[in-house]
Amino acid sequence: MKLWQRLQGCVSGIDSPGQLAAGLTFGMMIGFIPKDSLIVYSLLGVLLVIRANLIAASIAGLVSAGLAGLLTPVFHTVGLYLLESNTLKPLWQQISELPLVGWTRFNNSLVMGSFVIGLFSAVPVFHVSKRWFAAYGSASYRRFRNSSLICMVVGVSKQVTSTQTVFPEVETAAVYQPTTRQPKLREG
Amino acid sequence: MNMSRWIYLIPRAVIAGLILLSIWMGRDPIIRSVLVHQTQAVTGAKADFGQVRSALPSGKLFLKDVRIADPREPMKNLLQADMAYVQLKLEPLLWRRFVIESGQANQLMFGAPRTESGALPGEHVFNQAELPPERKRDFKSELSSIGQAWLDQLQPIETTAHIDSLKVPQLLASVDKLSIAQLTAQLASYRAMIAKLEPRLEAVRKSLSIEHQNPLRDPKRYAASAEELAAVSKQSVDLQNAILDLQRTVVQEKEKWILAGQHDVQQLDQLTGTIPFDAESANELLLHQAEGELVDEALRWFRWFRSSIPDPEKFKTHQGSGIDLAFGGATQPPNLLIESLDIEGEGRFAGNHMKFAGTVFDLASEPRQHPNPITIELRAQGKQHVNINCQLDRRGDNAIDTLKIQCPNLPWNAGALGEPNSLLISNGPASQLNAEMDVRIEGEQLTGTMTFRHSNVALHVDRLSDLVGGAATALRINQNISAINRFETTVHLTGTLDDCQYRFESDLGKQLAAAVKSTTVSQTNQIAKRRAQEIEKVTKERISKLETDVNQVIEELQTKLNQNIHRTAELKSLIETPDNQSWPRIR
Repeated sequence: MKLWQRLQGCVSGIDSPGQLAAGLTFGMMIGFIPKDSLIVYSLLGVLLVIRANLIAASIAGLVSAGLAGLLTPVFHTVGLYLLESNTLKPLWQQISELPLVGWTRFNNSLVMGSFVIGLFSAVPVFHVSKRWFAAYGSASYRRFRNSSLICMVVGVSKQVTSTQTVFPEVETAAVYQPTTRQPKLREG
Repeated sequence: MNMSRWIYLIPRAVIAGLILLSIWMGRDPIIRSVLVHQTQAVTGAKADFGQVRSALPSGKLFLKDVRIADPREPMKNLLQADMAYVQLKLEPLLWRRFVIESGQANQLMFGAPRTESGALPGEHVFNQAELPPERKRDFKSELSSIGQAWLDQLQPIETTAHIDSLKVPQLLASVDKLSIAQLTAQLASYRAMIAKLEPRLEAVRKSLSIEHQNPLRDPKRYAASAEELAAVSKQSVDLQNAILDLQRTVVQEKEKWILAGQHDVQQLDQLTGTIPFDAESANELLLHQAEGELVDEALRWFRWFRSSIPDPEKFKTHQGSGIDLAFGGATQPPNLLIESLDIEGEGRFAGNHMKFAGTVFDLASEPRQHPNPITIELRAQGKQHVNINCQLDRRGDNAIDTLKIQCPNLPWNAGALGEPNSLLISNGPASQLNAEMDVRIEGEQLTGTMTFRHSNVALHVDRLSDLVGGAATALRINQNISAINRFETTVHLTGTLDDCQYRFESDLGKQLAAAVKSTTVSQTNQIAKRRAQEIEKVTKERISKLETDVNQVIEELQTKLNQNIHRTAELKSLIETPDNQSWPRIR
């Protein structure tokens, strides 16, 4: 029981803006890419290894999976353009000869397009989301985290988390002055 | 080292472990899902696998209730199997290539109906107008027109028409115009005239004799002799011309009879030689349905074999699932390859339900990228032996497909041959059929032959059109048709698979024609032959009579006339050159 509580604490303790942003970025990429590609499972593996927030990743994954349906023509066009590019063809040819690469289905226009778009949008998404989380997200996240549903699923008690320790100003601003915007961030 | 920094990994590792465990536990549904996805990508239609059990370390898969829908006809299954087992090669899996080294599919059925549509959502569903027409030919309706054509070609050959066109009887009817009696009478008058000329010549000769040689003694008589001689000579020449004219007429008459006789004999020969039963059209009439259906069935099999090959170009996945590009070119092995798959199931061929077993070799999702052509070998088991070998070569630009079928001993339940309104022949139940088919399609062009060897046949004319003698003739034909015990047909195929033209080449028509010849037309033949003999006889008689009665007389008269002319000439020379030496000397 003690171990379980400790595990719960470890899972729920990763909620800094960077970790939240990382989770969101990975979730977005995973959501975009078709699920029959090995890339998805590789990203999932990385997501589990790094200190990224899994709840943010899950939510981002679900949302971006929904968005992927709308973005399919864009993914297809971009992927097809890249795959048919004469400059890149020798590279694709070399890659295709490697074992296990076939399971990534990189030669599929949708997989390629969604992966590349996801990859290129990862950096701006990470930075923007990190700032956003730093500004507004932690309080929202805490409210979300402290909701009855998440408490029931994750088993986290309504407690002060590491965010408070890392961003005490944010905590104060978010909790006690909800109408006040643009608090000063203190990195690290 | 601060362990608390990495402690977060423990629950994640647990999560990952749980995920991997659930994947391992649920590998069969996952494999099932992968199989469904892959098969659907290849065929472009729904694929269902009732149950999948795997032994991944050894690469074995057991599949139950396999149903793969037909993309062309979504309410039918392209194939379904109750159970299948496949042995996958593990190494190609690293490159996401599925190579089935060997396998077995039991209780295979083709074209079984589905309860729900097998079309994939968003996938192009073929409507009937787009699909090549299912060419189940209506042989019965075709037969009626063939039967009518057969009767039509019979009608122009009529005995009466042939006999009416004979020339000798017409000559006989018009013979009064120039009868031999008339000719003889004419010749008799000429003979009399010639006979009258002889005494006149004799008289002239006497008057010119030695004792009366001196013209001075009786100058008037000498002049009269010369006049008489001139008159006789002119008459002789006139007679000779008249006889020559008569001779010319006789020669013309003779030639006319000879030509008429030759024409009539030829005409009657045609009547006896050309029996009103053309073997070619009889073959078409009798075999069109019975063997045409077998050919059609074989071609349907061929069409099925061809349509069962995955065609990634035709059933290209839509944009919703992207487009897969191949970077290995022609050297890249296909994504799915069935090296060898034993199949066993049930089907119908030549109207017989039969269980079959066989093997499919080198079935690839991208046939161009595999060095060997797709080969399907099937053997029917049970009472009938049928060997089917189908090779579908899609490696080049032109598809080259071949189908070889051998049925060494197939019960032939064709029922009746022909068509009831023209000629209908029934066949005995014990007849056997040995069929060999060799068909090839290059591009769209179909060529090939099918040979059917029928043995132990027992034919019986059930119905025969009244135009060719009706029941009475059928009865006579049946007396001879029992001699036909076997026959062989070669069907030459041309055109395309969807619009195939048949040409029948069989000895059945010839055998039947021979039987008909000795019965149905024997009466006609006898009439014609008798008539020909009569005509020959009449012509010969006529010509011989002309020879004996007219020509001989003419020759005789000509001889006499020639003698007369010769004598006239002598006498004329006597008058013109008098013998002065014998005259008395004037002192």
